[in-house]
Amino acid sequence: MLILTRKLGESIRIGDEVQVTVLSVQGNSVKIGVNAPRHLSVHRQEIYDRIVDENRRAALSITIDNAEKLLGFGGIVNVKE
Amino acid sequence: MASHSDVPATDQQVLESQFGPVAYAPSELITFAEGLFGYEDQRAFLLYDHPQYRPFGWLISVENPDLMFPLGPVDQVLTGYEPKVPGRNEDDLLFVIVTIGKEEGGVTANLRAPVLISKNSRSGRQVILTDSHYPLRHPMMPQGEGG
Repeated sequence: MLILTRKLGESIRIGDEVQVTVLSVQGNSVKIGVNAPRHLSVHRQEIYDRIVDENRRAALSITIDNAEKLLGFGGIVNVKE
Repeated sequence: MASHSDVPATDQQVLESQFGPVAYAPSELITFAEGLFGYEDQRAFLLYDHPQYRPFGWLISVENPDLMFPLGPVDQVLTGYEPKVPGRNEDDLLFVIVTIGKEEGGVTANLRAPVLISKNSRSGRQVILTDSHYPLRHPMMPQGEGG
């Protein structure tokens, strides 16, 4: 792992397109700003890990027997955020 | 979606899915330039319409046909789900990946990371919604049913 020391307001550059800036430091929290082109997705690591896990579950759960559970779909499901 | 009947015999290809052989035309394939999260190396997929499981479809990796994801077309399986997806184009169809849990009744949809598929460009991408509380596992069946 590359380790760099940065002060508040300073940045690092990753390639031509990505800039990461230290915006504020309070206690053990660091606020980081990321400038990146839209085609690069930027996520908190733990969120990314949960999506990867769920994709794995979705892909690995399928057997022909298991797929039959979808036949019990009762119609449109209401979602409230 | 792909089905046996609408594939011209001339440029037909076949993949061995878990459902058996599925015929498709190469022009039907959907390119996920960045793959799906955790499966970044799989780029070419077929959206297979198996009549038995409608409205759900099956996103099958062409490279590794054992890998497939059940997809629910949002307009046919959900109401009240209107995520703000950055960069969404007008022709992008919205899907949710469905997880069929092994435990009884455990069919859930991932509302946190939907899949967009453009019919015109035949390209797809999965997005993680950052500013939302949509859950990773939204129940799709009443408890105790579908098991």
